[in-house]
Amino acid sequence: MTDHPLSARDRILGNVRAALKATENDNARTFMVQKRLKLHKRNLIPSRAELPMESKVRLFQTTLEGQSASVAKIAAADALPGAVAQYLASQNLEKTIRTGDDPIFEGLDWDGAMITRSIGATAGDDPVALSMANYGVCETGTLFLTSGPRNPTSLSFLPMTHIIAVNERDIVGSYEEAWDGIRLASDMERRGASGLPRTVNLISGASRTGDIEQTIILGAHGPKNLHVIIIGKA
Amino acid sequence: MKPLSHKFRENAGKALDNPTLQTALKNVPEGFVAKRAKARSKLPEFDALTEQAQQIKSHALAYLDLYLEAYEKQVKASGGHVHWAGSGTDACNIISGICRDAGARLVAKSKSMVTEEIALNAHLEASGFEVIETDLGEYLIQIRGEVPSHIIGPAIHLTKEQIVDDFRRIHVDLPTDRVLDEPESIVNEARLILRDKFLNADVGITGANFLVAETGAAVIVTNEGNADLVQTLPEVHIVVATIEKIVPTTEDATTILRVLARSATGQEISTYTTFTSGPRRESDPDGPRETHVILIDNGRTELLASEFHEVLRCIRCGACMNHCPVYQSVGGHAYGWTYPGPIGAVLTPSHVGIREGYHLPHASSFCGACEEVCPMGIPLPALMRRWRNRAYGEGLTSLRQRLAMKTWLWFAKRPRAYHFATSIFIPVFRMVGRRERLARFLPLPKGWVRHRAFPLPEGSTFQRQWKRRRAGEVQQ
Repeated sequence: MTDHPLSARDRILGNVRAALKATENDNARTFMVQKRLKLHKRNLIPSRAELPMESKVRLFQTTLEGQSASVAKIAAADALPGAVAQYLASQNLEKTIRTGDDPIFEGLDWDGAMITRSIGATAGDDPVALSMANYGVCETGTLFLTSGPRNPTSLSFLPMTHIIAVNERDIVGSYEEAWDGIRLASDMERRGASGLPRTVNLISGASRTGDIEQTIILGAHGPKNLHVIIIGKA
Repeated sequence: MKPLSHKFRENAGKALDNPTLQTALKNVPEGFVAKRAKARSKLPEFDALTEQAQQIKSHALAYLDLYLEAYEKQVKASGGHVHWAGSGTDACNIISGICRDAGARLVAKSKSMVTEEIALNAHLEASGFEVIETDLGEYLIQIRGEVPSHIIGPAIHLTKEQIVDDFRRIHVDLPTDRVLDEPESIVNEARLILRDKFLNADVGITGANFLVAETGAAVIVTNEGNADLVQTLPEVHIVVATIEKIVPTTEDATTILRVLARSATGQEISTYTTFTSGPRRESDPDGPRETHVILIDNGRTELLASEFHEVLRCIRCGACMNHCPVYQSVGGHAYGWTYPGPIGAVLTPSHVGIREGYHLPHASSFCGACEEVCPMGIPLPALMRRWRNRAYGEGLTSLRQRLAMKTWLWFAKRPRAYHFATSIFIPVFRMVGRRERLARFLPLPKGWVRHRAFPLPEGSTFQRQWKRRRAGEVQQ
């Protein structure tokens, strides 16, 4: 930026160290930081996250419903096209959906449910998207979705209606459990140094704004309708 | 932005006399304050979580240099670029440089207080770019040519009627006879107008709620989803953040997230929380092809070295201003710079100088509500008091105030003289006060006595009554 002999980076880091009265190569400090980053220990987890499975699913569902989402439960994945069709009919929507290439969608009978399904990211002209969540977190009714060909990020934000399917076995108590799972999957896929996909989206309801006199209005920029389908164990 | 904090008294007066603003401000205690209280009561661990959140930020600040280096390394490893900017001007120049290199025309932004602080929009517009704010509140104030009056509800000073008028004035391409009287129709219109901007923007700019050293992720929280469109659709994404946004790990960010939304809007969690790092991966079907992070100092290292360093724990939830009786009465614009309310009263003088920001740390009754609700345990009243001391030390306090304080100090340190003086003054006050309103006689600031009369003294000082009572007790 200027002809100062030090770069902005060196100046800022130098000023930070001066403010902290720290030196550049302090092994004790470095060790402390590396240990914390490597262990990434959990902090306090609210007790509401520690529930038996059945209660978890119930809490997940009621919390989401309180956050202006609708929730349906199906016994197994092969009931998904029917559940999607039923929801679309209830909303008076055309039976056309956009999805990623998640293998779970592949073997399903979409034609049988009269649903036209296309695959890929969206440029904004798809009214309905269906995504598969990696996890559902019961403590705040939050869905974790990770970016990639299975789950294009744009599907979660551009369509007016977003349907998210989640396996019941992937409903966990706390955010931390979801993070552990995502880290593990990332390691197996060798996602690179950061250990994570580009984007992890935590979605906890429909898009909303309170910017007009604090009145909550849905569908600000993202989906106005969020419908969650829990896929049972069978 | 050019500070107007020296005009606080004048602008606060105008705000109190503005009936439209007063109507809009009623929504603060009815909305944010009530909702936060409810969210807190629903989570038994809330207070314990705020304690951990404070420890996390204090730890991150104590090792800030190392966490910044770790963060930089991870961003680079995921394919992103990192830029360091000492000042707001440096940051603006770096950002316009990136936009120029990208051949950009339209820049879409999501809400970011630091970009307000460094006046990024004005700089980008002067450099020939079209800039559009996409958060509804920010969009509203952008079309009005205003600045935010609240850090999480930038348009909280506006009423629905004002917004409707602005939309009719600005959106001239839409039919004039359209119905636009309900918040829902206003939001739909904004969605329609801004959708086009999202799809055509060349560069997206977001702030960051946290930067995670462990993974190089930037964490962004919204309810509208606008930040996600801004960071997913354009080819280039720029994260603008000050250096104190660093937290060590994903778990640490997660803990702070548990207190952020509850303290801010009273939600259990904001609708959208996004962790993002680097450009789209090889197999990704969407996302930006190029990503940049601008790490800005702009006075933070000075704060870190100062007696105000605790303010760097701030996560910008807005709880302090929501609960502040002064903010609730005058709104955010009277404060005259980017950050209003108690947090602004501490931050503003450090950025614009105590001479310009003199009134802000003085505009407090020290009721302590801000410190009580601050999830990061920032001792705001104590920090404001430090600014008052500095102002006094620099001779900025008025001669009248200084004389009054010195006189009081003289008496306070000399109990005999104090008792003697009060024993004379009180009978005199009683005599004069019986004849006419004491208010006119008292040497108090006019603003105080204009609206209330000073009560008549009881006839004897507390000390004297105490002595008499003690004597009586002993006799019995």
